[in-house]
Amino acid sequence: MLHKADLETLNRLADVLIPASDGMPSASQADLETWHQSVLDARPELAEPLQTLIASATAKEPSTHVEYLRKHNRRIFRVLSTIVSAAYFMNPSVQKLIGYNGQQALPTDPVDDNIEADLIEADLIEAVVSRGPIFRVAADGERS
Amino acid sequence: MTVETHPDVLIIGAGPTGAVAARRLVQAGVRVVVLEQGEWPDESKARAGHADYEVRTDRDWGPNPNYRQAPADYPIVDTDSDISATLFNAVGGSTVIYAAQWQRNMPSDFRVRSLDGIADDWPLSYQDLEPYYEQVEADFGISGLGGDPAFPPGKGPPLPAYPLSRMGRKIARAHNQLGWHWWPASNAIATRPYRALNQCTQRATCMWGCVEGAKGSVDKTHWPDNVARGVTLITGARVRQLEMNKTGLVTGAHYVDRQGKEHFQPAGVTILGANGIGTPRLLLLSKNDQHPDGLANSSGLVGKRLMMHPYGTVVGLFEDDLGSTHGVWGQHVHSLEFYETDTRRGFVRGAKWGLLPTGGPMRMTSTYPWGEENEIWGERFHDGIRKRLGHSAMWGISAEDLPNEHNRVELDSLARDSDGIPAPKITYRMSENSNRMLDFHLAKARQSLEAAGAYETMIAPKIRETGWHLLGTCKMGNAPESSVVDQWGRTHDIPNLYIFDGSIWPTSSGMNPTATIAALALRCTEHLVQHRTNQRVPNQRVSG
Repeated sequence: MLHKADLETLNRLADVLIPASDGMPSASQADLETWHQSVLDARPELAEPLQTLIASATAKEPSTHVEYLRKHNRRIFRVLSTIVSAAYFMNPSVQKLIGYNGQQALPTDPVDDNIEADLIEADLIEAVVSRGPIFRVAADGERS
Repeated sequence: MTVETHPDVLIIGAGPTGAVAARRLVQAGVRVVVLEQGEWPDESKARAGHADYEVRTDRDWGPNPNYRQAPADYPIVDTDSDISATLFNAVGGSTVIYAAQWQRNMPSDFRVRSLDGIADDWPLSYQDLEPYYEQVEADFGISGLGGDPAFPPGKGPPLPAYPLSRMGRKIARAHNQLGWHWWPASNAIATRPYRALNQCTQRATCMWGCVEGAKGSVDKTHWPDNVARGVTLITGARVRQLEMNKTGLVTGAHYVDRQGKEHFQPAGVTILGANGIGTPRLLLLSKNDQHPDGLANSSGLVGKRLMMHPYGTVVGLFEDDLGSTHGVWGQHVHSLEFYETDTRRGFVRGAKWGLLPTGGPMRMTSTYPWGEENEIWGERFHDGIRKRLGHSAMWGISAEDLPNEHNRVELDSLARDSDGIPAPKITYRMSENSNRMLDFHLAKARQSLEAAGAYETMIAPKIRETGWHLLGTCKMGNAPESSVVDQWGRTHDIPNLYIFDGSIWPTSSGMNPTATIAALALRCTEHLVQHRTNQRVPNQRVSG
């Protein structure tokens, strides 16, 4: 659990990665304080590097520090960007705004009954077949 | 130390090689023990449809063992490599996380020296392997469409391909206009219920935990049946050394279980199926007075000629909603238009293209498939998500890697796994031929997507964590002085030690290798079964 000052630092860093624009909220506006905890529940091994990251960032200008991490410390940048983006996209209000409902199953496609698709594909495929074979054969007829 | 019961055959590794070999052996009445350092995949970690799905993928299903650091993983020192090796240590091996893109090699892949004057021919041909391709395609539940003019005529996959997706149709029309090859791609993904597999529901989570059980990974297609037929599968068993006797035969393997207890597993015949890094690592770890440079290494080629298929992506952005958060992943179509050599291009050999979806919103920010060059953090974030999510299609380009002895697997002098066993180190540099090949193919793939209607394309030319295909480090050939195993996978130096995995490929092709790894393992196993009465073993013969 992050202290209030640490959460403020995380919010500042997160808003560098995901600022508000185009009618979309920034990371902090999308309730990062709540959703980052859901991320850490799923990925508890990220808690320690997050604490280290925050401790090292407290007195630094956020955009400069994030850019430094992006260029020079990809491992820590990956921790930050993973937590921030995961928290953002786990928020149902953000999912609604981007029209995403998770990796749900699509209705089962009855392969044998998809007549329209079959007709389209048959037409498209015939063009490939009509161009003929494109593989090479060795002089020995491939027999070893 | 515990000494285990004595089977006819010991297989090391429960990936596709071990699965295929064990199935054929147990069918023939051979007593088989398999040692696997991992456990059965944890199905509870397949989280598609849950809010935390995307954030869990890298850790639970991520391909890089150095980042994943699961208990069964060992470190792979890759500081001197252009590409990080990726694999999965579990029952099922790397088929647990593979994209299930099922590609046979083309006939020319077996005749690189004859056709292109470089590298080596294989000691077998496409025709030699064809019946084994057909058998493993039935066993893995392959879906696709027969008649692809990129391959000799023959029996098609047992399951139908999915109807073309929106992105697939765009590419198909574009390639027909360009006069370029495309074809509905084959995948080890069930399009209808098939044996142990359920029907795919197109969640695009194939590489990160298939909740349907529709992907043809061998933990589903082979191992439950193998165990039911009598194969002894020992998990959590990390092999640290092969043992030899004074007559020059392997007598078995020393392994450490997850409690740290030492065991010795004796066997009449030993088959290695640990693939391009695990297999040479074990041979090098097993050096002894008779074999001071490692087992089966009189040629000096154990660990040499590592090939990993340099990989790049080109992603196209489309105004239309392509539904590309979903679909098989997997490949929707493939193109082999530029696979064969055309020396006017400035390089030899070629690359295979697979058309893929791009997944959910976190995937829009990730290095794969976008590359570090195309990050969208900051001011570009929301516009980038809007343009990419559901509106992007990706060509994944897998380039043939030519063998080079400088590219290699060795034992690291310092790094150790959790049992204190020396870790492998890979040294790998992309060749000028590979660089030219990728540049050419990426430019052509961009042309393809533009012809299909993409208003913007992005290239990730060399993605580091894409060393999925680990090949070539125990070369197969007819001459003992220039190869490690013969065409039946038997090591030239040790008559009861076999290698059936991807490490024996003389050249890499440009294809996803599991189809050929499985077919070759079956061919080698069939030969072992047919000739088992003549097989030399320490103090016993193979029964059955």
